[in-house]
Amino acid sequence: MPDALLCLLAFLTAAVVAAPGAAPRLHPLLMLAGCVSGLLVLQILPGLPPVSAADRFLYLLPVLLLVDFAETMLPPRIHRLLQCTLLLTPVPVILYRSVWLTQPAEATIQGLTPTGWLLLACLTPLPLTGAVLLRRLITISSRPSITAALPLNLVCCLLCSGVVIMLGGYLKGGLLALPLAGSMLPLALRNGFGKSQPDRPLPLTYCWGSLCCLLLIGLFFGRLTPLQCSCFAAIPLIAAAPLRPEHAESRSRRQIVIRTALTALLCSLLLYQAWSVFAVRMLPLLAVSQHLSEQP
Amino acid sequence: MSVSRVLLRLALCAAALLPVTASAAEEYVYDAVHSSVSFKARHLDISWIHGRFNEVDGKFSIDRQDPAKSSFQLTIKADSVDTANAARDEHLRQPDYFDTKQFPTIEFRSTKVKAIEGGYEVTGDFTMHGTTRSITIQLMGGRQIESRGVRRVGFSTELRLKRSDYNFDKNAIGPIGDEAVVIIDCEGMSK
Repeated sequence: MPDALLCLLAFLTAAVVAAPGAAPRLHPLLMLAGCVSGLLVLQILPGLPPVSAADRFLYLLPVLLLVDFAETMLPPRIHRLLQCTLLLTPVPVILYRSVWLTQPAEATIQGLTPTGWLLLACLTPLPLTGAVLLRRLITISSRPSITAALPLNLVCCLLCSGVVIMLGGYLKGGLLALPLAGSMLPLALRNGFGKSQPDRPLPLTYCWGSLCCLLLIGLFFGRLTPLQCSCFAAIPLIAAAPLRPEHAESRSRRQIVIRTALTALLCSLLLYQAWSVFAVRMLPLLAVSQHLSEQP
Repeated sequence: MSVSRVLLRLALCAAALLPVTASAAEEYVYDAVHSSVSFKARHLDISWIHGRFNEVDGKFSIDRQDPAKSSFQLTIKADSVDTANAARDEHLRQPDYFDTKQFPTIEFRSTKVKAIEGGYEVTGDFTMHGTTRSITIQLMGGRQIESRGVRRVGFSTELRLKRSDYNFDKNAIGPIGDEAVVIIDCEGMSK
């Protein structure tokens, strides 16, 4: 397992570097700088050419942030179109030249062929319904009440999905979650618990895009199950459920705390389930290793 | 005996020899039943972990008169890794190690063959984990026998590879040593 101290250091480095400065427009760039710093602490650098899914994801990150950075420069319709397109892009990018596309008859996840999974993961949101859903997601994500809680929920889900991917045996894939979550933490804390209302839109393409990419990597290349993947994708939407209708458009700190606690609880359940599987499958291997390393 | 008869006999002899001279190379396919591709790697620098690949395919073409025209191909299904521990095998298939969903095969394709005493020195492209490097192996053996109407030829080799040369995640090189010893014992059957 990775060094816990190094993981914490990477998370905190990303958070410190991404801490908002004076110019709000530059915040997406700070988030990218934070993420890169965290990755450097973990000594994770994207390979060139990007042959693995994780490498391709790392090259996709700046593109996601660029769209958020250009939000104020582009007409809203064009920006939303770009957002929707980019949120659909990760599936082919991440699966590029993998067995899921090159040998679809042989690769399966839990008995279902990639044709089935691709239909679920890619073809379902592709046409109009997907665009409508994504637009709806982006619209509701921009409400004041949701802007306040969503980043915290995303940070929580990213961290927990990273740990679950690591427990499944894919360490590098899970480690990617730490700098990502770290880079979102300052924004999450400021939006959730800051004194003033959030004064700028969330970098939604980066926030949703990075979570989706991480889950896809865990599902198709790690041992993240479709159920875990769906849960981690859906849990952040707790931020969109107003606990009381009169608070739908307002930013109530109490609601933020309740939503974050609910997210943390659900994530903990998923963590517990992943740990149970890990304890049965992998822990015996590690226990033997520990035994050997302690021998003179 | 007339000259025409002699010429006819010579022509018949030449015709009989023609297929041999036109195709001097012997073609073999990999016999999965009597072959193995196994490996071992250091664990915590105190012991060796042994494993094997259960699904291997290949073909050889051996030209004994002109060994440079010989060729060797081997394709290993990375997913078939077997270290006698299902959980560890599953871990080895993940992207920290073989990344079998991204790189399903490990391949060797010869580019140059030279006869040496007791076998062949084969240089070729070895592709593993998406990285191709030129390596040279000493394929020992090559004796051909015929058993139950099937021509067979056998080779053995041992090579040392560094995982770091093949773009494996360096963070996963720690408890398991960087260097792996690959042992190939293969038998080819004539088509």
